[in-house]
Amino acid sequence: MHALRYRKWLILGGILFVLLLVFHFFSWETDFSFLHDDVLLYSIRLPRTLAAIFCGALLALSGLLLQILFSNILAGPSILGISSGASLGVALAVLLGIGAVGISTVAFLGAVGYSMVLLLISRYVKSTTSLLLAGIMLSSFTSAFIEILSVYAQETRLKFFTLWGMGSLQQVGGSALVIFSIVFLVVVAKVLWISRDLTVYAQGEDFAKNLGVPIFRLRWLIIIITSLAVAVCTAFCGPIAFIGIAIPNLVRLFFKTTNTILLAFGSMLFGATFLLLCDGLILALDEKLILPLNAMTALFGVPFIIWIIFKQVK
Amino acid sequence: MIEFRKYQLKIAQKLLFEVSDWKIEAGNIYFLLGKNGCGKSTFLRSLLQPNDTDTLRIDGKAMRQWHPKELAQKIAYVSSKLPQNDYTTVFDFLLLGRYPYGMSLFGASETARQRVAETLELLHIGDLGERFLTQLSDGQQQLVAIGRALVQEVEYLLLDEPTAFLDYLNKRKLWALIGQICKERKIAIVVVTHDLESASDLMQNISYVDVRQKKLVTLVTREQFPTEELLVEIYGE
Repeated sequence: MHALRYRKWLILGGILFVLLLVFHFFSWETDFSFLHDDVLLYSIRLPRTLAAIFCGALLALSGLLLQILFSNILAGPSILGISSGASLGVALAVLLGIGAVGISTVAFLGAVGYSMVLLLISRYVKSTTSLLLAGIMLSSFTSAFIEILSVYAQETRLKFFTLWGMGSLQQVGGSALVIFSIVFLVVVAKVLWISRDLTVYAQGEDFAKNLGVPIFRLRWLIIIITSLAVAVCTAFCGPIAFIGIAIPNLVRLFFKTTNTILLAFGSMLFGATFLLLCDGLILALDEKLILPLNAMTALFGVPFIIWIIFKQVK
Repeated sequence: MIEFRKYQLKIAQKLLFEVSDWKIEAGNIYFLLGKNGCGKSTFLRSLLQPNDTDTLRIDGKAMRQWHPKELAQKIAYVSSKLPQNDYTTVFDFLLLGRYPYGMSLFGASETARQRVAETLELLHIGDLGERFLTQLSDGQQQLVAIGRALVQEVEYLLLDEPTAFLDYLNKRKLWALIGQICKERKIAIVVVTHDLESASDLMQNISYVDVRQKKLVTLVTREQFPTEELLVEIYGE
């Protein structure tokens, strides 16, 4: 009986996803001549559409995992500042010119390091508000380092870093897509593997412990999975905000379940759809307006998050 | 059987109390009394996690020999409040009791669903299956909390203040149910409670935490309880 609750949303999400995928791929244009241009098709249109799908799905999934880990529906990669950790890694690589080790690797190290500090804080700070404040403070602390690095950076590098900070799917090329695909498969497989543990953990840490859930291992897995996903998205597309917090809440509201497999699948579906919509609008309006991706996700995401906060207060 | 031999309950190296010699056997209800903050709930929860101690054995096996999931098939702990999750239905929550036995990726097994259905029927809450936990009254929440432990099919059930938020009639009903479960399922139940009046019919095995001596004292006969002198010793002046 309760399957009906989420089935209609899955169908609606599926239809929206396909429609927006098609619109995004054709850049909301009726000129299909690019289909005969291999460079335009395989180097620009297809990578951008695939990047929107991978990035939207991974960020939304990361948000869901963090919300379960911190038992807080207002947790997310950007609010808690994990994206800032990845950004610091990217800043070190770009601004200091140590990109030889790979931007995605330093972004990953930055995200993992940041998540570990945050997890340590969450052991002692149980209050939702305090933890979010700690996340915001840590994020500001990380931003301070980035600003110091920016002062000493070369102008060209600084310009590149500033543009990267606005978020964009334009730079995603073939090699980035290979990394995206591998990370996507690894993350989805791992989440599927731990989904039953997560469903129990979502009821509270003590409850899960009493049922024999391997808490320590689970916490570490969540940190590594989310850091990996956020790092790859941040490295290639910039720190894209609000998808991670808004989409899992939207899906929870629609599906009305705590089953992690359903929530994970729904978050990925709606996360990808949301980014296809945001980036699709950028494509549709690009002759009249230049819109950064981060601005688009914020324009849609922030009102929704404020609504959730109001709902919580009620 | 759960056996305690000079088992010391500690928090951050500080001794709360010692259980020198105590056995918990199937088909009995054990009442554990003591003043607030003396460590009763901590004691119950200490039975749920494998640890290094040799002074506590479950079915002959020392605690360190237990795997957490195996232990969860033996012992269940039920606190006085359910997790407050907006979108967990009663049915889904009860299904979580099957976690220690392994859960399928593709939905609950037929056996698991059957156990849940049987439990809903036993507790007379069959009509609540599709309700969210947050929509339940305190009495219904307590039944569902116990129901999850029954779905877990354990041999030892630890109840932490099961009647804390219930009115008089619901207290009576719940104690009757606890007695019925113990009798029919032949399981051992350890109850921490301050509800001495409503539970009096079931109180045969009584132990209390002596805060001054830092030890668990087991009363030999039912007649020793409740005397005014003993109540003062347990709860203070």
